[in-house]
Amino acid sequence: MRLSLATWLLAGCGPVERFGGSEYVFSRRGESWTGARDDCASRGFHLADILDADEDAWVSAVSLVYGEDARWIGLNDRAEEGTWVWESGAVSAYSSLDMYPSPGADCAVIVAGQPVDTGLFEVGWQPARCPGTRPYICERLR
Amino acid sequence: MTTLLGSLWLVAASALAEEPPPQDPTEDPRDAALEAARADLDALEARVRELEGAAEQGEAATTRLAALLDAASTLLDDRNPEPDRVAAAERLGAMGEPAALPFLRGATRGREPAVQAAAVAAAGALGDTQIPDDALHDARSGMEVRREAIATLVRMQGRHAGERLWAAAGDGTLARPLRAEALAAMDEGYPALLDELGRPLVAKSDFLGLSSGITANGVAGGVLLSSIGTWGRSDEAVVIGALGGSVVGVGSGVLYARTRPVTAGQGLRYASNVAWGLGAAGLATAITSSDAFDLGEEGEQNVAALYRVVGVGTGAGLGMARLRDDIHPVDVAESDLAGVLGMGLAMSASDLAWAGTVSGIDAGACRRWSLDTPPPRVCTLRGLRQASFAGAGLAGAATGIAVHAAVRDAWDLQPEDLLFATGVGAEAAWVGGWLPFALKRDVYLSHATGAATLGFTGGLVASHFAHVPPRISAGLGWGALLGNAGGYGIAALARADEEPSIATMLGVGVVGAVAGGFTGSVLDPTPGDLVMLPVFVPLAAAEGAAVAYWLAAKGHIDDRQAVGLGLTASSAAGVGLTALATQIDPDPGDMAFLGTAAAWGVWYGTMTPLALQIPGEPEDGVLTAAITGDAFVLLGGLALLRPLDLKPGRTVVPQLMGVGGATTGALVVAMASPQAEHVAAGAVIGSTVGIGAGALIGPLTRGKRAPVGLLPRVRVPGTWGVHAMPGVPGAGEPGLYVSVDATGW
Repeated sequence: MRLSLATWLLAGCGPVERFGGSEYVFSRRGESWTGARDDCASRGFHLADILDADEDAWVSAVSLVYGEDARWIGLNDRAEEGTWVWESGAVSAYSSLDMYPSPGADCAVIVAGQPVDTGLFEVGWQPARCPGTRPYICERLR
Repeated sequence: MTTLLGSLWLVAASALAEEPPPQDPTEDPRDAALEAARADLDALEARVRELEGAAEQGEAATTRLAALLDAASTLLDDRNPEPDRVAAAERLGAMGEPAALPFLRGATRGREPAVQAAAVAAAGALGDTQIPDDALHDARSGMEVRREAIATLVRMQGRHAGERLWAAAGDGTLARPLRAEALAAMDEGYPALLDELGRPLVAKSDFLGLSSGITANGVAGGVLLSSIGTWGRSDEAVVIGALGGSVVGVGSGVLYARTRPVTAGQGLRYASNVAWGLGAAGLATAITSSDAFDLGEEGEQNVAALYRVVGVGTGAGLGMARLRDDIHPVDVAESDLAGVLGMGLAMSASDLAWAGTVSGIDAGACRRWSLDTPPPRVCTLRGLRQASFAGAGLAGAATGIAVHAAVRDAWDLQPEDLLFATGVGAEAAWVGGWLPFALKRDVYLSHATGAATLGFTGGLVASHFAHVPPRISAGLGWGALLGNAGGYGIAALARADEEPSIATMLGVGVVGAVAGGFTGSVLDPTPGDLVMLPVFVPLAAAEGAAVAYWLAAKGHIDDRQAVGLGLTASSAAGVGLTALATQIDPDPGDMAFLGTAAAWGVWYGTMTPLALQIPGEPEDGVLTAAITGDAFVLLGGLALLRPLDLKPGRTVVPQLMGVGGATTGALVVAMASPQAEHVAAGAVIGSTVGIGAGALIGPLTRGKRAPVGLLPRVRVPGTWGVHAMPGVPGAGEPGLYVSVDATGW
């Protein structure tokens, strides 16, 4: 516990959150998408991939707790415009990406909305320009 | 023959004048026997006379004892009528017989106040102070008896009796009316002794101590009884308990104070104990109500009520137990200060330790967590941070109070210590708050609060070991102010980025604080310095700002440089004038006059262009006002010099009339025309007329003591009058009728 706390303090990150079979770190500081990717890698993580609706809802809710509206996730179409893939290489048919035209926006953020009357959260992924500075979500398998 | 007669005469004279010489064993034994017989005769005669005297004394003693027996029997037999018993007591007092005292003491324990009072008075008549004193302090005695005891002690007029009365006047166990009567009796009966001993210290409750103690008791009562309502789940009971408990608390406090005086220290310490108990309950509540615990709403309320009861109950109990001892209010303040500082330090440290981990967390999102999964760990950590914060506060406060208890005798808090500590704490807060900006780190409020607390504490410790006069503290603050302004100003003027500018500000500020403290140690400011600096440094700052505004508006410098120029000018003026103050001793009146001259310059420089409708940009107007202010300062300075040698005090009336004239002129013109230039013209004319009129009539207000005014007194022939009246001329617009009349010339 003390070691973890010291680690978080030094790294400027929050604690490691757990969901399903994965561990997540929600960063404090902002980075570009590539900077976020590299930082996650340096810690043994990768930018989060969200592969189903449950994980999507959980990540969005936790992201809201951390107090930021939009965080980098691993989804990007940097290699081929319009072809969105996960940085980790994971493949899933699930997607919440708003597919409105967004030229030059090759990376994706998860946007945590405000809670609605039903107690659920509005969630969504949106394309964003990769050089923009945003906090991010790292993930690794437990 | 003559010689023989002379010798016989000498022998005879010696025999008459002196005792017989020791018997010489060579003398005749018959003479010795005769002398022994004569001595035996003398002894026998003395013995007879002794026995005759004893018989007389025995007869007198018997008579006295018989009278004593009779009076005492009458006194102590409660079947006798009250007047007889009173008379018996008076007889005993008049006898002068100490043997009567036990009977009189017994009589003071009876049931008839008149008899008791008479016994007290009789004991006093016999010179006994113990019986009146005991009666005075005996709560079972009636007020009549106790008042008689006071009167008796006054009648006795002995130092011992006076000292007993003085002690009673200051005895907190006595009812207040008796203490007041005892004090009044001291005033009347023993004024010299009262002067010598001083007025008793605890004869009267201190207002501050009384009010704080009673208030605290009311709070304690309200808190304690309202908790019952909380546990009973009744909102009405909470309110009733709070109100009723407060009333009970205040009432019991008043009753307590009626019988025992409460000093300022006692009352404040009691209030302090209750307040700390309530504060500790609040912090304990913050711990268990944090997200780290899940007691539920009802559970949290119950536990909070329990904390309040324990905290306030303990505080009130400790405070009550310590009411027996007096304490100086400063000691209470020291203890509280130590507790607050300890609490502040610990809470700031805790907050900063956790800040990087859980700052920015949306607590509401934690509380609204509605997914089936457990809340994020960061929510739990946030709760732990809250609990840690409150727990640190508790521990810090306890540590601070304990430290004070340990060093209480060695610590003597002085006002100048507080001044120095405040200066150090303010500068520390400034540095602590801005340093994270300069270092491009996250900024938390605890940076500033923690630094302030640490600086204040350090200042107190330093001033304890090295006495710091107020002028050094003032110099420190002044130097810090000028240093920070100058540091940031120079950096901004040089177009440095924000972070380096802040770093420069902090560094130069610290240097300025040290230099200011040193300057304060060698500079003993005169009244003139204390007027000159507050007048001319703001004036220089305003002028620097005006110039900077003009330069920025004209595009010569950017906005950031303008800010830098203004701050630099202010700082430079402050440093320069402070240095000047070490060399000159300006007259306070002259300095104040020059300040008003500058104000008039700014006034005319602002209003005249407006009145004359001189075209120009706002920045031109600002610069014109600043320059006019400078010009008036220059003119004012010349007026103070020879040959004019203006006395600033004599400008008060003209200046006041100038202010009045400006207001009147503006109002009068505004009634006729709403246009700004007309109103400005009215104000300028009004102020000028007011100053001129004041210069003329000023001497009249000073009488014969001041025959010379600002201007030579002008004697105008005749009688003059000026009349002004608002009205509506023919055109229907509001206007003003003004007339001047002169008669008798």
